[in-house]
Amino acid sequence: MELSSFILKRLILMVVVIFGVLIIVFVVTRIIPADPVGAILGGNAPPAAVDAMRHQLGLDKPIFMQLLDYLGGVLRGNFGNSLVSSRSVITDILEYLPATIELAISSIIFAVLLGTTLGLLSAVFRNRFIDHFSRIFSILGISLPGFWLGLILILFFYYRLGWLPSGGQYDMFLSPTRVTGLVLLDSVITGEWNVFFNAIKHLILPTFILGYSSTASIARIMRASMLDVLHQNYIRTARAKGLPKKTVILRHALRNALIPVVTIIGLEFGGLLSGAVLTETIFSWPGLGRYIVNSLLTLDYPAISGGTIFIALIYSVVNLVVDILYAALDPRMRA
Amino acid sequence: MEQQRGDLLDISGLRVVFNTYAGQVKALNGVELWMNHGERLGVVGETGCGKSVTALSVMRLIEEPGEITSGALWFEGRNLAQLSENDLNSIRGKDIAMIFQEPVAALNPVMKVGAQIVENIECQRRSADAGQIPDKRAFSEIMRDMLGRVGLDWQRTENLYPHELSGGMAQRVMIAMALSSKPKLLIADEPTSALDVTIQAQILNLLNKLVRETQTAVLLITHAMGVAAQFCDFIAVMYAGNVVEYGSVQSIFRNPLHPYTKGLLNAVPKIGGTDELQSIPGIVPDLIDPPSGCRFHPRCPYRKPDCDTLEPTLRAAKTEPAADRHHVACFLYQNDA
Amino acid sequence: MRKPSSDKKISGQSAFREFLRERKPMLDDVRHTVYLWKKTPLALVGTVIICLFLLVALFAPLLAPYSPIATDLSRKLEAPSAAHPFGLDQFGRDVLSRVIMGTRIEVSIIVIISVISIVIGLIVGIVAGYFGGIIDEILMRITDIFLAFPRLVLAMAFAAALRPTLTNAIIAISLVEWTVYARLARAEAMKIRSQPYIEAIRAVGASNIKIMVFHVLPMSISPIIVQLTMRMGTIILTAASLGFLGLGAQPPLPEWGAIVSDGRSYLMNNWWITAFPGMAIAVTVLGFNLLGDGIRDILDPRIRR
Repeated sequence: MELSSFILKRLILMVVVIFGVLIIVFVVTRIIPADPVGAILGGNAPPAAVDAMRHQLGLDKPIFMQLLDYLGGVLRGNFGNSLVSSRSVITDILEYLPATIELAISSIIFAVLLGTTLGLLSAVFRNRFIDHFSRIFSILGISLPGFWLGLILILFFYYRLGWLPSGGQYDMFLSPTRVTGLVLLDSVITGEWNVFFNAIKHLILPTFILGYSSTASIARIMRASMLDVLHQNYIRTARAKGLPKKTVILRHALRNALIPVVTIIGLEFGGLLSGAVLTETIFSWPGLGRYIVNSLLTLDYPAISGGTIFIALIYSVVNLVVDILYAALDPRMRA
Repeated sequence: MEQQRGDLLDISGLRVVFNTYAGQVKALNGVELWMNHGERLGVVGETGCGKSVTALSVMRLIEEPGEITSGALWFEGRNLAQLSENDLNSIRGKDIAMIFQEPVAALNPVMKVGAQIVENIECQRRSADAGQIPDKRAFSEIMRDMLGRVGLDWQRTENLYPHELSGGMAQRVMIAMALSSKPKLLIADEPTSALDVTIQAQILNLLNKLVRETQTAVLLITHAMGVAAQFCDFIAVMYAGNVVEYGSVQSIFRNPLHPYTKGLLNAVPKIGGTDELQSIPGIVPDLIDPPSGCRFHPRCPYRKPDCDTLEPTLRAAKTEPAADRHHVACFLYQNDA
Repeated sequence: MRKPSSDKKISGQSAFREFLRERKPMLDDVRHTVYLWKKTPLALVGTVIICLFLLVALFAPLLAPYSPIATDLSRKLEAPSAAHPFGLDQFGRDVLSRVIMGTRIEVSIIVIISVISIVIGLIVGIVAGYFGGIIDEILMRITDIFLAFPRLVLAMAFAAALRPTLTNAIIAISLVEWTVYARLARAEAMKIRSQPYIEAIRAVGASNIKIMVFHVLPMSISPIIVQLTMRMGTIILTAASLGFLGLGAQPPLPEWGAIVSDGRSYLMNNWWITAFPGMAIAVTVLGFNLLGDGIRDILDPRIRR
C-alpha cells in the first residue's frame, strides 16, 4: 500500500491505543488502596478538613464523573497538580523532561555507533578476537543488572579513582543558564564552556550504563543480520564483479544488514525509557524517570498518571516513527 | 610447468572440500578441463556432481566452509590459484565475468538496477585507467547501451529495483552487467534453469548473438544435455566430482565412451519411441564417504576388478581424430588397468 | 503348550518395539537435539549454571552458614573474611546466607510469573487467534494497550498501585509478561484453525472449547516454552529492578535487588553488601541467557541438519 495510507492507518491505531492507555491509568490510579488525602493531611486530621480536601481533589464525586473530569482534563493538557510539588503536573514534567531527553539521545547515539560497529566487525572477522570480545561484551550487556553495574562503576570511578562524578547533571556550584533544558545544548548556546565540559563528565557514566544493554542488543542483531546477508547470492555477484572487499561489505552488505537493526532501535528506545528510570535513580539524574519513581513511592497519583501517560505517548510515537522508517528504507516494503 | 592444453583456461587437478558439521564433503576430486579463446565449453552432469563448484572455483569464489585444497587454475598463463586477492579483483568482472542461476536473488535488492551495472563499469575502468578522473556520464551511456543490446528499454529499466523485474528481465540485466566489460571468458552457471522454457530459449539466443559479436569464450554449466549440445562446441561430462569424459559435441553424442555418458544419453526420451525410460541403476554417491577407486564403479555395468581400488585419470581416447579432443577417464579404454 | 505364554511375551515385546518404531522420527529428533546441545559449549555452560542455581535454591537452608535475618549490631558492616566470605551488612547479618536464601525467592519469582503469564497469554492468544474477527480485534487492541508502555514502567505502576510487596511485584510483572505469550499463541492458533483436519473434527461435532484445548493448545506449548527460556533472564532482571526501587520485596526479605539497594548508602566503605548479591543476579541471568542463546542456535534450521 501507499506509504501515506500506511501512516494514516497506524496513526488511527495509535489514537485508539492511547485512549485505552488513559482508561487503564485512570483505573490503576483509582484502585490505589492508600488514601492520598491521608497522605497529605496526616492521619489525625479532623473529618471536616478531610472532607474539604476530598472535595477539593474531586474525590467525592461518583467514579463516572471523575472519569469524565479526568478525560476532559487530559484532552486540555491538564493532569492536575502534583500532590508533592503542588505545581501542575505538566509543569513538573516539562521541567524534568529535557534531562531525560538529553540522557536518552546521548545513550542511543552511543548504542547505535558502538553496537553497529561491533556487530559489523564481529560478522566480518568471524571467530577472531574481535568477534569473541564483542560476543562476550554483548552477552554481559544483557545479563548484568544495570543498576548494579552503575553502582560498581561509581565505586571505582568516583570513590576509588575520583575521575568521574557520582551523580547529577552538573556540579552543584555551577548554575547554568537554562534555554532548552538540555544542559549540553544550552551551554553551547550561551558559550558557558566550563559548564559544557562539566556536563560531559557527568554524562559519561549514565550514558554508558543506560546504553550498554542497547549496545549489546544492537550488536547481536547486527552480527546476525550481517552474517545472513553475507551468505546471500548478491554478495557473491558483487565479489564476482571484482569489487574490493571493503566496497562489498560497506556498500552491498551493510545497507541490507541495517534494515532489521532499524526496527530494533525502536524497541531499544522503549527499553531506554524503562532503563532511564533505574539509571536516573542511581545517578540522581533530574529526569522524568526519577520523577515517576518518586511519584510512585509517594503515591502522588496525578503525577503518576501524568508521567506514565506521557511516557506511553513518547513510546508510541517512537514506535510509529520506526515503523514508517522501516517501510521507507526497504523498497520491498513499499510494494 | 606442464604443457597448456587450452590457451585461455586450463584447470588441472582441482580438488575442493567442504568442511561441514556432518563431515568433510570431497566435492571435487581432481577436475580437469580446458578451453581456448572464443570456444564454448559445456559442463554437464546431475545435481551435486560438482559443476557449479567448479565454476565458482575458477574465480576463487568458494567460501567457508569450502576450500581449494590443490590444483592449478591457469588463465592465460597465470595460475589463479596463487594470485592475491587484489590481483584476482583485477580479473574478476573484467577478463572473466559470471552470471548465475537465480538472477533476481543475484542482484542487490536495495540498489537500482542501472546503478549496479554502472558500478561494474566504474570498477573496471578504474583498474584500467588508474589515475584518470572517472566520467560518470560516460559510464551511464555505456550502461544504457548495454541494456539496449540485451533487449531492454533503458529508460524504463534503469531505475527499477531487482524485485520489480521478471526472471527473464533480471537475467538480461545480469548479462548486460557481465558483458559490459567485454570479458574474455563468460562463466554461466545454469543461467536458464530457473526460467520458463520459452524465456530460456530467448536468453540462450541472446547470449549466442552477443558472445559471437565480442568473441567471448563461454563456460556453460547446465544439467540439460540438449542445451549444451545446441550452444556449445565442446562438452565435459562430470560425475561425483570428476570430469569423466571430454570432447567435441559431435564426438560425445555420436560416440559416448564412458559408461555414465552412455547412461545419460540413453536416459533422454526419444520422440516417437515407446520404450521404457532407461535410467542408471543406483543413486548418486555420498561425497562425505565416496566410493573408493572410480566413483562410478558401484553403478557401472562394465565394472572391472580394479575399478574399486584405482582412480582413473582423464586420458585421450585413442580412437578419435585429434580435433575432436575426445578424452575419457575409464579403465575400459586404458590398458594399464 | 508353551506357546500361549511365549506368544504373550513376544507380542508384548513387539508391541513395545512397534511403539518405539512409530515414535522413531520423534526419538531421532530428540537424540539429534541432545547431540547438538552437547556440541554447543555456551548452552552447556548455561545449563550448568542453572543447575547450580536450582541446587542452591533446593538446599538453601542446609547451605547457608548463618541465619539470613538474625542481626548482630555489634558486628555490623564487617568486611569479608574467612568466616563470612561476603561480609556482614548494616544490621550484622551474614550477606552470604542472605544471598543463598535469596535463590529460593528468585526461583519462586520465576515459577509463579511464568505460570501466571503463560496461562493468561495462552487464554488470550488462543481465543483471539482461533475465533478471529471482532474478538481478535478487541483482544489485540487490549494487548496493544499493554504494549504501549515500556515494560518496566508498567510493572512499576502496577506494583505501586497494588502496594509494594513481593507478591504484588510478581503479579505486576505477570501482567506485563503475558503479552509476549499471547502473541505467540495467537499466531499458532491462526495457523492451526485453517487446517483441514480442524474442519473435519468440527463436522463430527467437536465443540470449540474441545478443539482449543486438545488441538490448538498442545501445538502452542512448544514455541512458548522456548520463548520462556529466552525471556527468563529479563524476568529476573525486572524483578530485581523492582526490588531495587523499593517496589517489590520489602525488608527483611533477602531478595537480591533489595539487598543491592540496601548497600547503596554504604557503597563507599562497605561495598560488599551491594557487590555480591548483584553478582549473583548477573551470574544467574547470564546462565539463562547462555542457555537461551544455545537453544536458539540449536533450533535454527540452517544449523540443524
